[in-house]
Amino acid sequence: MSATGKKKSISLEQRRQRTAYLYIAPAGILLIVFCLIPLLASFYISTQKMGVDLSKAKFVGLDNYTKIFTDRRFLQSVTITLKYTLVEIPLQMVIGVVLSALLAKNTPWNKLFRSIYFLPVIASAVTVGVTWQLVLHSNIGIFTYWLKLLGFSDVNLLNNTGTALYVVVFVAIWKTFGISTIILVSAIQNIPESLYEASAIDGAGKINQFFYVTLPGIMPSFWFLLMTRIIGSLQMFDIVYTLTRGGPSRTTTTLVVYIYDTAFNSLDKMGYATAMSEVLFVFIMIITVIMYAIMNKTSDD
Amino acid sequence: MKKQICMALALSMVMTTGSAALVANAAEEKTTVVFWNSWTGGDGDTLEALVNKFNEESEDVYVDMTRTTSFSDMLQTSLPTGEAADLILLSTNEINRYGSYLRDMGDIWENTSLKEEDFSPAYMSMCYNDDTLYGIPFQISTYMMYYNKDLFEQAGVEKVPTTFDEWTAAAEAVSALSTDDNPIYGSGLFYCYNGQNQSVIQRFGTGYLIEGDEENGFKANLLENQAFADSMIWMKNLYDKGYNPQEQDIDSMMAAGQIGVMTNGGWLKGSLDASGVNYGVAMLPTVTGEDQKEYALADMASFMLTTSATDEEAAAAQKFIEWWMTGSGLAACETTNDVDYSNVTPNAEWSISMCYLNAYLPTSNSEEYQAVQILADLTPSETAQVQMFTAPGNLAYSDAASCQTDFVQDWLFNGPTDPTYDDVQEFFVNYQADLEDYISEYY
Repeated sequence: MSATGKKKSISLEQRRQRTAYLYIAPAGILLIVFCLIPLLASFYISTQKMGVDLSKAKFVGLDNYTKIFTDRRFLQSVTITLKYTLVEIPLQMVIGVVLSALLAKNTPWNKLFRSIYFLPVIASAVTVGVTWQLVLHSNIGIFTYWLKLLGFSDVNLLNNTGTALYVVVFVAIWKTFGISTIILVSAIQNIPESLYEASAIDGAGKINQFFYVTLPGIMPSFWFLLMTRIIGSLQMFDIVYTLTRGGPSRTTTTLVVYIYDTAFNSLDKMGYATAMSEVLFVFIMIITVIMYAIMNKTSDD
Repeated sequence: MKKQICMALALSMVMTTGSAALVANAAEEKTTVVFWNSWTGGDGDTLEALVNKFNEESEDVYVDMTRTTSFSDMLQTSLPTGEAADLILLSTNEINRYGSYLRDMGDIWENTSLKEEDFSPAYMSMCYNDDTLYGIPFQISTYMMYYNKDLFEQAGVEKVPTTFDEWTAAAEAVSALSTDDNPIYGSGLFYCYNGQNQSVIQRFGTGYLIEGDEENGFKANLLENQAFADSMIWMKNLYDKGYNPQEQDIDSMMAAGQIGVMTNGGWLKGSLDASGVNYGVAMLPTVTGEDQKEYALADMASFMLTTSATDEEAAAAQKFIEWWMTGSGLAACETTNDVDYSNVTPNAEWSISMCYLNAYLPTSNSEEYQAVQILADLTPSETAQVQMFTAPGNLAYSDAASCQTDFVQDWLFNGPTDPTYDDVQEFFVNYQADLEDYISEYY
């Protein structure tokens, strides 16, 4: 190849690269505007002492970060968030897997049940929170009434420090198990039928097929679901806020509810609240990276 | 026939367009004042009717009102961008928080016929911050005692409680009426609403949660405070003995005839009237029962102008405030047959029909206002404690209120049964420390 030809080919390569950059530019700009700049801005805010209206800002360095780890309410809300996650996630995943296995075939009944289970997913969290508040009301709730008919007295699930968090877990699962089920149903339907036929020839029954064909087949979707559910649980806000507002006695105050309360109900704690959300961001990022690593290893296996 | 239909359609189009144009012209000629508030309950309907009346009467101002439960969220997000309402109704406790986005209203005395000396100095002072006037008093929501007359009668309670011991005795007697099918509770304290709880806590004589002044320094006021300990022990015993439900929704239970005595503001009156429950209203008790007028623990809401308003809109809003104080109301309230309410101001009508105290002296001194016994009863002495939670200045208002919500719930749910003064000292150490943190942060 002549020197001129080489020069020409480099310039062609450069032109191609330029075109490629142009193609990804819109996505890049969106990432910069909606992710990178807010990320940097929120770090800047976390170094300030300022109100929710961002006025009267005063630079305090890393003081907000050092304060976090001596704040007993922060530590309490982290404990509650972890407790919520540890109870909600296993239940959610088990229910999702079992129901998806039962509803995988495209029969009319299965389609009907899938639609019914999906209804709470499209309902707004406010509607769900207020509705369950009425259903579980200690005085006028229909659920309370039924329990009273069964002989239970003084049923007060939402205003009891021992039960309120589990009510939140129940409502959160009720609202979201439909989407888990649908994702896993799609994954099951993508497993080649030949694998089931081969396993049947080898003498595997339904249960063995579930454990040795279905479960390995849905693992990529399962890990994706698990990861998004864990992130969602760590960011739990809407259902708690509409159902219990974090009470009674802060027993349902998750980390994001505490961050919100701190930011919007105090005179000048926007910076502190932002510092807490930065800590949450780092925590979620670490979990996501670990989950990705496990997911990739499992996929390779 | 087709021709006639076409003619009729064309005519109706012309008329519709014409009338729309007329409406548009009328709106265009008027200066629009965007007005946001959170009065979404029964009292809000009266406010809406009064604003509509103003819009009909005013030739140059149109008030575009939005009542919303998201008021606070809307305000916080729109004030920094200059897109908030021109006029808002806001608690004076929030002046510190939003001060930089509120307009100085000092020129209202020059722009309208209103005079500063016509407002009660005690309440007016709450509208000032560093000599800047940020609000004009709208209503004073004093907490009061609601009691169920029928339940009192059935339980043989003859005297309306004036002391906290009498409250407990009445609660015990009324609770005895409870059955499995119809649970009845003698007392109706909320565990989760800090205003309602503070209205009784401070009446024990505890003072503010943070006390002191700049000269002598500030101190947290939970520990070594006998009155505070007494208030906490009183509340805990009501819950532990089952006289008070562990419930947030006390209002509905009161309306359903399941509560003997409770504390709340005037906003409850509308729903109790609608429910048909036979209730009475009185001043909240104190320890001795003799110093009830020394406390008017209340939340005062004021008209405030935001920096989102232009000069023209601010001037137009001031005209509306002037009308509110001096115009004529709906003449719809018929509190007694002895007094003629046909010509009261919107401000007076609002106070009389909703049981809100009034800071505008021509209203509070009027024959119509004075004729309402409960308003006369609720009117405090001139030296009464009117602020809640914090030391004057309200710098730590939000944090102190939040701290109070926390410690009341923590105490009621996790405190020892049959508590003593020493239990209170031990339990509240962390909350005392929280308040001390606020002192170092704000003062």
